[in-house]
Amino acid sequence: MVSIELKGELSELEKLPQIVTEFGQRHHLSSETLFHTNLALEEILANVILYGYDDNKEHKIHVCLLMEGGELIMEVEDDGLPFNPLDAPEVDIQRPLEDRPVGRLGIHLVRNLMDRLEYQRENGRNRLLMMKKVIA
Amino acid sequence: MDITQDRINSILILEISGRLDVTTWKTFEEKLLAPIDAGEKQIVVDLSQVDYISSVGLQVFLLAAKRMGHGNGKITLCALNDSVKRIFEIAGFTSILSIYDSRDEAIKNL
Repeated sequence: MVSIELKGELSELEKLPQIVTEFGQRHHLSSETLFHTNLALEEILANVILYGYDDNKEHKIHVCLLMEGGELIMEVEDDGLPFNPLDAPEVDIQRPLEDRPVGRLGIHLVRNLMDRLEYQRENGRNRLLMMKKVIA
Repeated sequence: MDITQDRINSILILEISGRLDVTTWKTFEEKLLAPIDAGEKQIVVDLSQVDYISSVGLQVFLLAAKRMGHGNGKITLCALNDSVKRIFEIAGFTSILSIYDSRDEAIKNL
């Protein structure tokens, strides 16, 4: 299991590739799984950092990665504004180029790349679990 | 993330390498949009050396394609690795951007 605490700043996301790669090597995960793990974490964390805070205080985000029963579980816990990615509106990917909004794709990618998402708001904190089945 | 430039007559070829993520996208956006804003009409973007892309990287391509269209130009993408291509597919970008397997095809279809 990997458990880390990141500051609520975008520059902290530079640490993600190394964290994910080391975890992946330990659990023999494919490069495709590592790509999707990195992407899911990046999208969720960037969302928290860019839109989750309405003050200038220092914030911490807790990230945990673990393998359980052939499933990769990622947990992200933050003290930002309530945000449930499961409630985010669907992006219409059929629209032509001109009508395609620039933005809102991150959550769409996470939903499609992960097998399951679970969200809870507890004690002023968002807790998101992202699950992905891993083929050994 | 790095971009190298090459030119075949009126065609500008941009070869991108590295990661297109939330820590690099701003530089990538500046480097991709600069030639468009400078009036280039035919651009091929070679992604063979890109090993990671997230939503912010995708959005730069969307913006570039829109801006090229407004200036009556065309931008084509090529040589995406399978993992990167999958992200374009999930985002629904393979139907709105011109994406080809090889650089030659991308040049022919400008």
